Amino acid sequence: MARADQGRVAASAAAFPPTSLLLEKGAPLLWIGPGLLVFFVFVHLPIILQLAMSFTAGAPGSGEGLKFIGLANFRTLIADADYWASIVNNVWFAVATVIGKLVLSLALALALNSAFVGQNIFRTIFFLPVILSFVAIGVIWGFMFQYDYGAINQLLTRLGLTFLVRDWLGDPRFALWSIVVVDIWKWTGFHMVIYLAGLQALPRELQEAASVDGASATQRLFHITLPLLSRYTATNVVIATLGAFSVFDLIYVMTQGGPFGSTQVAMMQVYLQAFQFHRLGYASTQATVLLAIIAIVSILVMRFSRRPEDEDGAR
Amino acid sequence: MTLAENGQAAVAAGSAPATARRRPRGYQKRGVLPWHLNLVRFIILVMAAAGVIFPILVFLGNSLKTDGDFLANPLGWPRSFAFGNYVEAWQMANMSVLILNSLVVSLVTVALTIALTSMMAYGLVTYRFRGRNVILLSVLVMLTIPVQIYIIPLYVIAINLQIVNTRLGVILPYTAAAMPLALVLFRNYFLELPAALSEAARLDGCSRFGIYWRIIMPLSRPAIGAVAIFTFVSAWNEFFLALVFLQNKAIQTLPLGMQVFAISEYQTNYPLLFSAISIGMAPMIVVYLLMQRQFISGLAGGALKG
Repeated sequence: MARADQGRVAASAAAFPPTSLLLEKGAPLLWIGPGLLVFFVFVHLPIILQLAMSFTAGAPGSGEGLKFIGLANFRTLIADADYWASIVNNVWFAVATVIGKLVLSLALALALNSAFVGQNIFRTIFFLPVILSFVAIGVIWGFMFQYDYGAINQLLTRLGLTFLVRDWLGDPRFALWSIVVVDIWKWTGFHMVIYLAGLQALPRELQEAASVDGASATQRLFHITLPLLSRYTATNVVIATLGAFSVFDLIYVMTQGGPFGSTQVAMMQVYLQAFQFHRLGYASTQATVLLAIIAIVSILVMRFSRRPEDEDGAR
Repeated sequence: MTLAENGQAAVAAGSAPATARRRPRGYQKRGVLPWHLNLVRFIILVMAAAGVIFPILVFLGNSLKTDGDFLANPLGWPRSFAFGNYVEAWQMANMSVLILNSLVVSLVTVALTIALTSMMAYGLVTYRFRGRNVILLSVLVMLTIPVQIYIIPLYVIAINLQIVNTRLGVILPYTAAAMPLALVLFRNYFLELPAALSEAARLDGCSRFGIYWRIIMPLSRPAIGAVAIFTFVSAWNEFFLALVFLQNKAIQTLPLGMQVFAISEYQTNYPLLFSAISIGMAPMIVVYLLMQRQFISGLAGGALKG
C-alpha cells in the first residue's frame, strides 16, 4: 500500500490532451466494454434472471415457456421435506468442515511457522490435495472407504480393530461424516497457507514483549497470536463456508446423495430439480435461497472483520 | 501489502526471514520450543503429511496391480508392476481426447481472462468517468458467489445463445467466473506501478494501447502469473458446468470423462479405473511439483487479496 499514493497510473490520465471529445468519452468503454459484456452476460444477467425465475414455472429448453406463478414456488419450498432435509445435512456439513479445516489448518500453520529443514516439503505435501480435481479425489476416497477392499477397513482389520470396520459410504449414519473428512483433507492445506501468511505478518516484538513479561506459550497463542490473526480467520471462515454451501462435485462423485438421502445437500437438490425433473422455476427458487444464505454469511463475516486498509483500497 | 510481498509472505515460510529482522531472530532463538516439544511438533507434522499422502500412495500402488493381485492384496505394494493397465486405461478412457479437450478449454479460458480483465483493470485505473466505481463494485461483489449457484439461468442463457454443448459454452462462464479475482489482482498491481513510466512513454509518443502493451503488461508478469495459475487450475478441474453443458463425448473435459469412466468401470476392474484416474491427475501434479511456489502463492495469495 505504501507506494500506491505516489505511483498512480491514473495520475497520467490528465496528461493526455483530449484529441476529440467523442474519442475521449468512448475510450474507457473500449477498454472496459469487452470484459464487462462477458461478465454481464454470464454473471450479472444470470443472477438477475435467477431472482425472476424464482417466481415462474416451466422448462424453457423444451419449447414450453416460463409462466409467472407468484409465490407458489416458495410455498412448495416451505412444504418440501426433502429440501429441508438437504439443508439440515448441509448445515451439519458446513459446521463440521469449517471447524475441522480451521482447527487443523491453524495447528499445521503454527507447527510449520518457524523455519526448519524440510519445512518446504511439508508445505508442498499439505497443499497437494488443493490442486486435485474433486472427481479424482472422489474416486481415491471412494476406494479408501470401500467396504471389502477399501484401505481404511483393510487397515483396521490388520490392526485387529475389526469392531471399527464400517460400511463408511453405504451406512446412512456415517456417509456424510466420511465425506466431511474428505473435504477437510482436500482444503486444510489451502487454509494453512493463508494462516502461514498471517503468522509471517505478525509483529514479533509483541510476542517478545509478552514472553519477557512472563506469558506462557499458551497465553501468547490465545491473547496475542489468535486476536492478531482474526482477519485471516475471517477470510478462512468465509471461504470454507461458501465452499460448504455450494458443495456438489464431491457428493455427486462419491454417493450421489445416498444412501437414503443421508448425503443430500442443497446444490444436489437444485441439480436434481433442474436437470433431472426439469423444474427450472422451482430449482431457481431453491438456488435463490442458497444465494441468500451465501450473501448473508459473506456480508456478516466481512462486516465483522473489516480492516482499515480496505477503505482506501476500494476507492 | 503489495502482491509481491503477499506472495512472499505466503511463500516466505521456506526461505530465511528478511535480513532487517535481526533482533526478532534473536528472540526466536530464545523463545524456541524445548527439544521434546519440537520432537512432538515434528511427529505431528509427519503424521499429518502421511495422512495426506497415504490415500494417494495406496491408490497409485493399486493402479499398478493386476486385478487378481488387487483382490488378494488391496493394501500392500504391488507384487509385480502391471504397467499394461496404463496403456489399456489410456485407450479405454480415451485419455488423449480428454486431455486435449481440457487443455484447449483451460488455455483459452486463461488467455481470455487475462486479456479481458487486464484491459478492464487498465481502463478502470487510467480513466476517471462517471459510473467507474459502480462498475468496479458490481464486479467485485460477485467475488464470493460460486458459479453453481446461478447454473439454471446460465443454462437458459446458453441455450438462447446456442452455445450449450460447445466448448465456448463452458469457456465463457469460466472466464466470467474468474474475472472478479483477476480484476482485484490486476487493479492492485497496476495501481502500484510508478506513474512516471507511463508518463515517459507518453512523452516519447507512445499510444495508450502502446503503454498498456509495452510497459504495463510486461511489468505485470507476477500478476499475470497468479491469474493464469488460479484460472488454469479451476478451469482444468471444473466439473459441474461441464456435467451440465457438455453432453457431446467428443468435447468432454477430463474430470467429466474420468467420472463417466468411473461409473462404467467401478464394479468391474478397480486397477484399470485407478490407472485412468492416475493418468488424469498426473499432468497437474507434475506441473504443481515443478512450480509449487507459484502455485501456492497464486492460489492462496488471491484469496488473501480478495
